[in-house]
Amino acid sequence: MAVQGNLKDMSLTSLISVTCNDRSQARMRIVREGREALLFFADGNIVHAALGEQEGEQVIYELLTWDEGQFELEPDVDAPRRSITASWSAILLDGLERIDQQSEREAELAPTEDEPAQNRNLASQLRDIEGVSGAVVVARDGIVIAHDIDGDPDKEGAVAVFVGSAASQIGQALELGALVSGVIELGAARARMLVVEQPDYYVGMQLEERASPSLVLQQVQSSSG
Amino acid sequence: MERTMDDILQNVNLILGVVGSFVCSEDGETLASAPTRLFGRRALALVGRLTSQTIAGLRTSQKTRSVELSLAYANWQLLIKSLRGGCLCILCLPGVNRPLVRMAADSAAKEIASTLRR
Repeated sequence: MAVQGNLKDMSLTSLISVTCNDRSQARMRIVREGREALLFFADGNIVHAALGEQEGEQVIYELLTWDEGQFELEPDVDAPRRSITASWSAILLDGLERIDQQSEREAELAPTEDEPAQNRNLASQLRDIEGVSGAVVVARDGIVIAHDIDGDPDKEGAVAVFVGSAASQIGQALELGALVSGVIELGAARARMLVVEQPDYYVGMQLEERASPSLVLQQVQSSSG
Repeated sequence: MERTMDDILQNVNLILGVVGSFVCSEDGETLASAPTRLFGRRALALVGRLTSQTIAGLRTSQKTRSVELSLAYANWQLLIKSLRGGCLCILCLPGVNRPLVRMAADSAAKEIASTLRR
């Protein structure tokens, strides 16, 4: 009688361990997202594995990364051929070690996961500068990367990019050299934003009424090294 | 007797550290510049378009008429001040007395706006 279930409820390592320890001769069929894998057991070991065109131990390594999938274990089914000679325990240990190594590599190669946190940190650090009441970090395409601002970050970010970009173009046209900073002053209330151009993004900082843009800029430059 | 735009700009240029100034219309056309040969015609045409577009954009998005930009470059400062009918741009050296330039810009902007209305 076939045993059925889902890898969500019982891990593949447990299934293999139980089946091999029982020294069962069986075929395990696992289906996930339209892909079908077949494992064959005999004499207390896995003797054959197939997944699409793939065969052998590599199939087990891949199946160990599946955290869900319908399985069916049918007893007394012979393997069509033998593609695996290593012991089941060695394969599982090797497979789990590969998963750990892969996870470590992914963690090392995933600066994008850390970048938002760094940028959020940057926005908060900028807001901590005396005279700054809010900060927005915005990519050159206008996407707000991070902000620590009370108003609408998209609107403030758009102003920073819009003015920063135009100021750079004006500087090029008049041969004034690289843009260092820009102060935008708007309306009768004289709300001010300091815009600083960085290699990959613009920073817009809302200034308090009595803040000195020069002093704030000095702080920004000293904190960014 | 009413002063011309050139007279007004030349008066702004008297401030120590001010190198030159120019006025652009809302369409980006250069209406006056002093000294005349300081800025190339093509450069001024491009800057006129850029400044007028920038000010128009800020006016629309921020719902305000009054826009002032103080831009710092490696060795220059550029003050851009919106006025009715266009904008006033003043190019300065970094060590210029900025409050003095701003006072002069406020005064010049009113006179230029008045000239533009006529």
